[in-house]
Amino acid sequence: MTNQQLWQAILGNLELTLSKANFTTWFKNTSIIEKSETGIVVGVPSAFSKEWLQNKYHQEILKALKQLSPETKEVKYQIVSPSFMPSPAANKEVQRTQTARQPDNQTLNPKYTFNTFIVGSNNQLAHAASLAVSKKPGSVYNPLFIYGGVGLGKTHLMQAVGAEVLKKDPNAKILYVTSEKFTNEFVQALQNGRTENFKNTYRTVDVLLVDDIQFLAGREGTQEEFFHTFNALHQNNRQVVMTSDRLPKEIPAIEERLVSRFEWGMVADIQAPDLETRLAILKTKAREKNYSIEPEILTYIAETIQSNIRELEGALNRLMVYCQLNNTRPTIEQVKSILVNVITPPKKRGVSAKKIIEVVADFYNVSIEDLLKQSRKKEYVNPRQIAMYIIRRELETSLPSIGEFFGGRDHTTVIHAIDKIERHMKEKSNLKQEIELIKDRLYLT
Amino acid sequence: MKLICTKENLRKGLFVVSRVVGVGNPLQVLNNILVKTDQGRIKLSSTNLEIGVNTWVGGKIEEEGSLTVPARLINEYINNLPTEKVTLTSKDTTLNVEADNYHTNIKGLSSEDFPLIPQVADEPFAKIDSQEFRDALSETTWAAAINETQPEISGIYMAFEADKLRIAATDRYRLAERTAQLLEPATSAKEVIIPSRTINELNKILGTGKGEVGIYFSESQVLFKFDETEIISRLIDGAYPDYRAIIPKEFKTQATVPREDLIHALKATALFAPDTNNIHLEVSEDGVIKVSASSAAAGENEALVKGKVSGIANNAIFNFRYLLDCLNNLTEANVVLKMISDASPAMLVPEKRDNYLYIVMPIKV
Repeated sequence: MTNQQLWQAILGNLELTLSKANFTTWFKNTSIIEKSETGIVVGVPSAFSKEWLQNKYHQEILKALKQLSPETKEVKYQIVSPSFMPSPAANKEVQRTQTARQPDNQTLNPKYTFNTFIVGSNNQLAHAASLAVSKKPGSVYNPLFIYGGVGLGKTHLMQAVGAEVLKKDPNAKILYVTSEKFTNEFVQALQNGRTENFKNTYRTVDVLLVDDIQFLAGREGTQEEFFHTFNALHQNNRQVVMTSDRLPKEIPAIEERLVSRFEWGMVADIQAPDLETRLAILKTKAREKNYSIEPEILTYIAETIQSNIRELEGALNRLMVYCQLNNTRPTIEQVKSILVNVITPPKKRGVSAKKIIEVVADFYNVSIEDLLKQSRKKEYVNPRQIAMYIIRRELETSLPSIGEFFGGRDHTTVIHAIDKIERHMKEKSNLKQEIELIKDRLYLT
Repeated sequence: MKLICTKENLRKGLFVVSRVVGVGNPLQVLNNILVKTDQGRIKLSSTNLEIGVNTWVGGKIEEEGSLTVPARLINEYINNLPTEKVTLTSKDTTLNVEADNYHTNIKGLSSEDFPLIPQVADEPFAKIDSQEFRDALSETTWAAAINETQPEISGIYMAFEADKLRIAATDRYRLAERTAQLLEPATSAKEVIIPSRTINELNKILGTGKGEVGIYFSESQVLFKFDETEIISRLIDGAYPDYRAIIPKEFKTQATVPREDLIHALKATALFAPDTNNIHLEVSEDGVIKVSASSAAAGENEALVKGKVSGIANNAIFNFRYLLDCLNNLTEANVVLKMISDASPAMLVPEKRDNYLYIVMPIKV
C-alpha cells in the first residue's frame, strides 16, 4: 500500500466518526510524508492543525492506522509548507512566468497542427489565412474569424495557429477557451469578486483563441466583458482568433458593436469537403493509423459520408476495429453492412415536428409561440417557413397536417413556404448552410 | 465557571480578540471567543487558524471553567452595557451574563472543540519598544502587495541584525524600508516574512497602550507579546526578494519640500487624473516643483510647490497614490525627493532622519 493509499484509508475511517466541518478543517492538505517500519510522519499545513491532531485526534488516527497496518505504532506530525516556494530572487521571475504560462498553453491539443490539416478547395481560404496569422500574429488579419459547420475542422485550424506560434516562440502566452468557458470563468470571477484576476488572465495573452463564439448569444454581461477584452487585445496588437458555426451577422442576440468587430479582420469559411478532399483525409487517417485498406473501400466511404469529417473518421475507426476483431479484410459488401449505422444513421429517432420547431425557434432566438401564432412579421415568417420545410423534408408529414400544426394554416400556405425555401436555398448559400446547421443540431442533441 | 469582571476590562479584552475570527469557516467554533479562567485571571482567545490571539484581563474568579461564545454577539452586547460590573456564569453550553438590570443567556459551544493555539518558545528572541515598533510599522506595511499570488511580497519582511530590526514592504512598484531600534540585541540574526493581516492586527493592539513588545519564534510561527496580549501567527514561507540591490546609491536631483504643501498639491492635482492616477512632477533648478495632470474628461491643472533644489532639473510621472501613501504616514515638516531620470526609481525620505526610505518607480507612458 502506498503512503497515499494508506492515508486515504485512515481518512476514510476518521471521516465516519467526525462532523464534516471538523473533518475538512483539520484534515485538509494533510498527507503521509514518511513511513518507516515502526511509524509514520504526517505532514500538516499549519501549527494549528499540528496541535489539534496531536492533542485531539491522535488516538483515533493511531487506532485507524493499527487496523490497517498493525506493525506501525507511532504517529508523528510535522508542518510542511503547502506549496513550493522558489528561493533566490533572481530565479523567481522565470519560475513564476513559466508556471503561469504552462497551464494556458496546455489547453492546446498537440494533435491539432498545420501538418495534420488537409487542405482542399473547401477550406483553402481559411487555411491560408490561419497560416498567415500564425506567421505574424497580431499584424495581418486581426481578428481572424473562421466559420463553418460541425466537424469540418474549425477547432483544428484554430489550435494549429496556437501551436505554430508556440513553436516559434515557446514563451508566447496562448490561451484557448470555448466561449462557454469564458462565460463560466467570468461569472465565477464576478461571484468571487476577482474580476481583476480574470481581466489580467485574458488581457495579457499574446494570442487568444475563442471557440464557438456563437454561444455568447444572449449573454449580455459576458458580451460586454468580451468586447472590452477584445478591444484591449486588439489595441495592443495581440492576435484574436474566433470560430463560429455561422457568419458574425447571423448570430442572433449579439451586440452590433461585437458583430462589426468580428468582421473587422478576416472572415474565412470552411465548407463541407468535396469528394477528393474527403478521400485525401481518409487516406491520411488510414496512414496515420497504419492501416492498409483497398482504395475502393475508401472511395465508398468518402462517397457516402458527405458532410462531416468527424463521421468520416468514425466510420474508418469502426471498420478498423471490426476487421481487427474478426481478423478479416473487408469486402465492399461487408463494409456496407458494417457501416450501415454510420452511413444511414437512425435519423428519425426521437425527432418530432415539435422538436424541429423547438430547434428552429432556438436557432433564430424566437419563441415557439411566435412560430405558431398568426404574426406576419418578417423575423417570424422566415423561421416558420424553414420549420415547415424541415418538417416536410425530414418527417415527410402531409401538407395539411403541417398546416394544422402551425395554428390551422391552409395546406397551400405550407406549399408556398416549402417552395420559397427551396428556391432561396438555390440562390443563397448561407440559407442552405443555416438549414444544415439546424439539422445538425436536431440530430446531435 | 463563574466570574465577576468590570465591564471596561472585559470590553478591552474583547476588542483585542474579536476581530480574529474564522468568518466563513464551516467549523462553527471558529466564530467564537474562548472565555476561560486561568490562574486567577480571565483568558480570552480567538483564532482563524492563521492567526491566534490570547489576552488576559483581571476579574474575580468564583468557579473555574471555560466556554466559547459567538464573538460578534458578546462583543457588541458588552459594548452596549451601561453598567460597571458584569457577572458571567456558564451552565452547560449557555453563558449567563448578569449586569444590574440586564439579564442575558448567550448560546455558546463547548470549549472542547476550540482549536488549541500553538505554543511558542519561552525565551523572547527580541524586544522592542511598542511606540517605536508601531511607528516603524505604520511607515511601511501599506506598501506590501495586496495580491496573494506572490505570497512572499504579500507579507512584511523583518530582518533582525544585532540591535536593529529592518522592516520592509514592497509590491514591486514601490518599496518602504524602516530600521527600528531593538531594546537589546537579538539572540541571533534572522529574516522572516510575516503576513500583512497579522501585522495589521498587531498594529491595532499596539495602539491600546505603551510598553515593551516581546518577539518569539518557533517552527514556522511567530508570537508577539505585548501587555497582557499574545498574537500568534504563521510565517510566510519563501525568500524575500533581495530588494537592497535596486536601491540607487546616487541621485542627480534632490528637492527638499514642505510635506504638507506637496500633499495639498498632489491631492488637488489628482482630481485631474481620475482614470490613470498619473501625475507629472517637474523639478526645476530654481527650486520650484511643478505638479500637473490633465485628462480629456476632467481638464487640466498644475500646482507649484516651492522648495530647495540641488542638482539638475528633472521630471517624471508617478502614481499619486503611491506618493501620498508615503507622505501621509510621515510626520516631519520637510521631505526630500531624490530623482535620477524619468525611468529610474525615485526616493522619498524624511528630512534629517536616516532610518527610513521609500522608493517608487515612475510610470512610463
